[in-house]
Amino acid sequence: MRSMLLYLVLVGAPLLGLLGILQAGERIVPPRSVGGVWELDAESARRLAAPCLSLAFKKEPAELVVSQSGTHLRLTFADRSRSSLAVTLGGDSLTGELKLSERATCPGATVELRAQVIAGEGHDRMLGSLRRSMCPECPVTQFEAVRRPITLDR
Amino acid sequence: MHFLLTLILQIAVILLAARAVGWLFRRLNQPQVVGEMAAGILLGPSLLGWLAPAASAALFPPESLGYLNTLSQVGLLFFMFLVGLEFDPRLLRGRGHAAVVISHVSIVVPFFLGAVLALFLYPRLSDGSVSFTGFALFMGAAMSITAFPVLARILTERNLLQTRVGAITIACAAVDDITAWTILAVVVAIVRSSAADTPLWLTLAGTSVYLVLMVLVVRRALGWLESFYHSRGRLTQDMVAAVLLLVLASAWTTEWLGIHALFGAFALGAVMPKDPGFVHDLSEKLEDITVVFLLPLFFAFTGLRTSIGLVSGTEMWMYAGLCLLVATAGKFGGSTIAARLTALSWREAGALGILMNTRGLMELVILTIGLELGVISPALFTMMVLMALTTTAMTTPILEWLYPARLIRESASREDVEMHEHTVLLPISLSSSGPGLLRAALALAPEGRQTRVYALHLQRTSDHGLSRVDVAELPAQNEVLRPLLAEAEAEGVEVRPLSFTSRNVDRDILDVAHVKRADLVLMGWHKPVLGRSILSGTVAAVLRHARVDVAVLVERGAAPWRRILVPYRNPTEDLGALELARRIATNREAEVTILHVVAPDRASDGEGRLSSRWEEHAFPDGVRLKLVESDKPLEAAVREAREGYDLIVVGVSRAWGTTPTPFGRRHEALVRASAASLLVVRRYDARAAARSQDALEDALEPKPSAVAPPRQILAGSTHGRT
Repeated sequence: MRSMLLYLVLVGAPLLGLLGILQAGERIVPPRSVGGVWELDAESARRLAAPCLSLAFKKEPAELVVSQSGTHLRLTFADRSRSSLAVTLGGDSLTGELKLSERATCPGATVELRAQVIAGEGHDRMLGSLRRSMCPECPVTQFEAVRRPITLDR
Repeated sequence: MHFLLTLILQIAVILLAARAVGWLFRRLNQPQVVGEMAAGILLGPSLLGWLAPAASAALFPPESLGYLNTLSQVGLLFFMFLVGLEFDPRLLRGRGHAAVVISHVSIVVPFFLGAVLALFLYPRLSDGSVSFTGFALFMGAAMSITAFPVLARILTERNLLQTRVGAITIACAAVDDITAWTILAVVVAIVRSSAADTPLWLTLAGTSVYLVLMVLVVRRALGWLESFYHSRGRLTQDMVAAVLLLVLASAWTTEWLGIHALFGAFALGAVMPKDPGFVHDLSEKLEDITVVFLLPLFFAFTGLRTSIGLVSGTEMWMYAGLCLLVATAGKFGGSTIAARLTALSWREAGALGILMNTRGLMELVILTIGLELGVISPALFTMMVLMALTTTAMTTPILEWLYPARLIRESASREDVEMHEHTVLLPISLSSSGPGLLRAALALAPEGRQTRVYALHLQRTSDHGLSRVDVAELPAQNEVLRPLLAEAEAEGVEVRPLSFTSRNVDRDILDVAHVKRADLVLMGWHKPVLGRSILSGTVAAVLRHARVDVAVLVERGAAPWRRILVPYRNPTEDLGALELARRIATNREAEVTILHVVAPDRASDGEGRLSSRWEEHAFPDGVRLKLVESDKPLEAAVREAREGYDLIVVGVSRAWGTTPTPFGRRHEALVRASAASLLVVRRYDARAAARSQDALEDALEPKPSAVAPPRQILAGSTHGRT
């Protein structure tokens, strides 16, 4: 009798609680999904390869890989240096800072990234810009990328 | 670089790192698997990629990882099959209500807390591509897993399997294992069905049919394999091939059904016949290549995807700490409370809780599935890998604190020892040496004292992640001790069998000799004499450090011994041999020849000295004293040994070349000289040891009276050792 009572309390109660949690959790709005591979258009790739960013891409189409952990993103340009930056996702906006590699014309400089994700028919688009920090007179490099369909192991 | 060159280089580096870090962790009393998991992380971006990014990129170029992944997945398939093979329904029998309650609570509580944690982490570390239900169920499953192989190994190593806490823990872990994998199969089906065209009900229905077929049809059909094994008396290569094909077929089926290939491998292992011989032989065939070669590749591949850099900043480390806290609270807390409320004391319940909290590589397997499915994000994957590593690494030290090995040893040694008994400890490593050692022990019994014999089989721990759990085996059923016990029964002698797993065999022999208050440790030597030196390794360590008399028998022919030779030169080193030879002569009515070798210039001296010893030792009739003048005692003994003796009894002495040496075969001269057996005797002089201890203490500490004498010396003196 005691065992059965214990069983009901220690097993039954958490199971009921689990059902409640599953119900409640469905109302939580998670961060938007932006992870995966984004293909940069040719013009954007050309602009990013110019001084002083010097992101020399290895193949076409040029790629931008986004590794997402909730609102914490890591963007990696598929250039020769595999330039990578930590980015924060807030709603549809991405903001982060990229420290340029030694290969760039102005190595060690910090570049600010701002981008917006726009839901599209079939493919999401990312419109963004890169701009040197603390340098208002430096030009802003615009880029555009399209998200490749996700092929998870499902 | 050509892909094969890269792959070979990768494998070599991974194996080297796994063995080196595994060895290091074993030195720290951690299971080898924890070291191998850590090695994987060290090879990834968390250390190698951070310290030497160029070397890391050259060693693990992204385009080469596909081959590594494929190999590691194949390894994982066979590992999961082995884990399933270890599952034995007998583990669950007779464990009572307590085991049922504890095992279910140990799953449900961490599962529930994992889901609670999901409420907090979902908006922070997940994204819209994953449903909350999938995320929460996955977190629950990941929190509730227990690493059965690591747990079984810890229980075996600490000799806890025969204790109440060990028996309940292993039963709970077995239930957890099956339940957690079943839950995970459902979670995978749910997650996959949301992204695939196959409806969930179809996947679940297909899985149910598969399971019914496995249990009702395949399991019975596999009985044929067991019968075939028994008829052949061994596992043939054709049978191994058949098993491998079945593993692949089962894995393919579950992958096709929409759950994971690993479930198929695990399920086939679980329904395989559980005949101990069959399981043992099959495991032996598959285990080394899987565990030593393929599994480290999985750890490395996991490590390559574990980037501690993703857990940056206070906020992320707080999430990581929360994962660890919830995992431990759920598994350790839940199991401990359930165990305390049902059957066990606080100490036992705590030990059970910390054992159940061991997640090991089973957690890595689940996390890898979750990452591949996209259910968990890379940062959460890293946090959970750190949690798995921490919960596994903390098990041994906390278990030692909660349930010290001292307590286990003390409970094992609670046995009355009659003071007038002559206690002999026989460490047995090969079954064939047991009967001979028992006969020798009986021949060496002193007059007027009853002999108590302990037969000890220590099983060395292997260094891999799997561990056989023999639920039925008691020391008396130990295969190695069986011939000795049969001989004891034939002789009408009571022998007490002891059997346990050992990390350090010589230390454990000394411990048991101390606990059982042995008067003599009698060891065998069974390797080819010319293959390796006799007095090395464990034998040498016991000879050096035992605080009791030690004898080592090199058996060349079965007793009874009719003609015995005792080379004698020095009373300090040879009196022990003389005494044991006297006992054999008394007990077996053997003819003893004492070869007294003296230096030519001290011949008359020597004879006089031994004559007095002769009377002191009261040798029976049939003892012959042979005086030889020689500067080379070993050569003199070798010459005499060729005269057709059955046994040579010799002390540990430089004169006879019997001082333990790791190299060299000088001491084997006596063995090679004749076909006789050799008994090397080292007598422990408690008084001399006490004197040297006192001298040492005097030198170090000017208050000898404040220092208690060593317990062993006291124990030895009360036994009136010869």
